[in-house]
Order: sequence, then structure tokens, then C-alpha cells
Amino acid sequence: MKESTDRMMKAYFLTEVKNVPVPPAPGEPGVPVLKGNSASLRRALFSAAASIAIAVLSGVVMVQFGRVTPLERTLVEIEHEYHLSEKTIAGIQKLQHIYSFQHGGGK
Amino acid sequence: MSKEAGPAGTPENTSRHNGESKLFEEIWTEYYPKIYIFLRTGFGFSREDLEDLTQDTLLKAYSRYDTYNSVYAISTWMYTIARNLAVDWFRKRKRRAAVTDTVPLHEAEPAGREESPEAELLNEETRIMIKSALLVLKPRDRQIAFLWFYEEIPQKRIAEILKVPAGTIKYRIHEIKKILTSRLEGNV
Repeated sequence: MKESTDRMMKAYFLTEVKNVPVPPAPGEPGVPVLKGNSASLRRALFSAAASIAIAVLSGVVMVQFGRVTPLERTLVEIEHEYHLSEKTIAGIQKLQHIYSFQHGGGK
Repeated sequence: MSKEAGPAGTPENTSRHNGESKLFEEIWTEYYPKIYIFLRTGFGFSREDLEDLTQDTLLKAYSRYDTYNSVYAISTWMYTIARNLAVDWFRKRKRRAAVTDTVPLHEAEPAGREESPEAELLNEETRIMIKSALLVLKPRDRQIAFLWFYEEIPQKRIAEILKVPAGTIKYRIHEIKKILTSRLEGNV
């Protein structure tokens, strides 16, 4: 029975190990090399990026539907929080301009 | 895997300059799942912490590869790093190791993986039964069980990895077998 236990345990761990999906190694194409708690950092970065996208989209939607809240205010808020580059801000302002033009509203 | 063999051959013979990237990929591919299961079985981390610690173990091993003594099996070295990081993790956060395994029992089988003959012997019911039996063991005994049953690491090396006397390991293996056998006996 003990030999059977040995075999079963070996088979169990073999199965468990085989079932672990191996993520791409850091440094492989498209996978950034991050130090420290890298997986946590990646999740945090992804979360921050998602937040920016939601904030920007919210601003765009507000302009599209003619809400009172100006996009500039949203931009200042997310710029302050996420330190957006001038290029990114310029791109968002351009989007604002396009939507303002399409919907006949002012800035 | 051989008790004294390195991943995919003997890493010490690999050219450090020409094959560093390849070496890291080999270490990553071979040891990521092993370290992951070792940490999961032995410490009961959450999935996110498991991913962090597994990755940290492999990055640390790679960054300190110069300190690896090829007299010992690379697996011994890797599990030592993993164990030390896990202990540090608990020390820093002053948390006690969870007794229960927080990773779901029914993990999806990744597609495209071939089943080994040994793995084919185990159906899902048996896997859950063994997992339950393991949870009866103390965390350190689960670490011993993994290193002994799966990696077949000699008792002396297990003692070095876990930093306990070799005699303790011998006794614990005897006890672990007794507990597991009694738990599994009625279900086989």
C-alpha cells in the first residue's frame, strides 16, 4: 500500500505541475522586464491604464452628449493623477474638438 | 527528473555569454510550474502571491546564477530560493500560512498538453481526494511531500532546503506516508 501511496503522490504532483500554465518569461518579445513584485506591478499598470482609458472615454462621452462638465476639467484631473504627456493631452483635446465640431457645440 | 541533473542538461556547460537568454527560458519553462506547485502545496498562497513569488524565485535564481554551486542539483538550489522567499514573505507581512489552499481545486487543463502515463492514472476524483489528504498535513510536511514524492530529492538535500536536521526529515517522511496511506486507503 505504501508503494501505491508513493505512486499516487508522484502521479498527483505530476498532474498538478502539468496543469500550471506557464506565462511567457520576462524579457521575451512583448513581455517587459520588471523588478520586485513584477506580477503585481503589471496588474497595477494595467489597472492604471484601464482607469485612464475609462476617464478619457467618460470625458469624450460627456462632450458627445453635451453634458455641462467640460472635458478640460476631466483632463486636468487625470493629468494630475496619471501625469499624462503633452502629446497625449493634445490628442485628447483634438478628439474633443472633433466631437464638438460634429455635434455643433462649442468647447 | 534526475536528482542531480539541471534543466535540459547541465547548465554549467552552457556558455553564459551566448546562451544566457536561452538558459533563462529553459529555467523558466521547466521550473515555473514546479516552483508554483511547491509554493502552493507547501504554503497555501493566493494565486496572485503565487505568481509573484514564483516569478521572483526564478528572477532571483537567474540574477544570482553565478552563486550556484553545480555540485548540487539545480532543483535543490531553486527550491531553497523559493522556500527562503516564502519564509521572508510571511515574516514581512507577519501572516500565518493559510492552512487551506486558496487556489481552486478544479483548475482548467491547459489545451495542448500531453498527459503522461502516470497522470493518466489519476482521475479528477482521485486528485481531489489526494488534495484533501494533503491538507491534513502541516505546511512543512506538505513541502516535504512534494520534494520527496515528486522530485525524489534525497532526504539530506530536503533537510538542507528546509533547514531542518536530516533525522527530522526521515521521521517526517515516515509519518507523512503513514498519514497519507491511512487517508487514501479507504478511498482507493
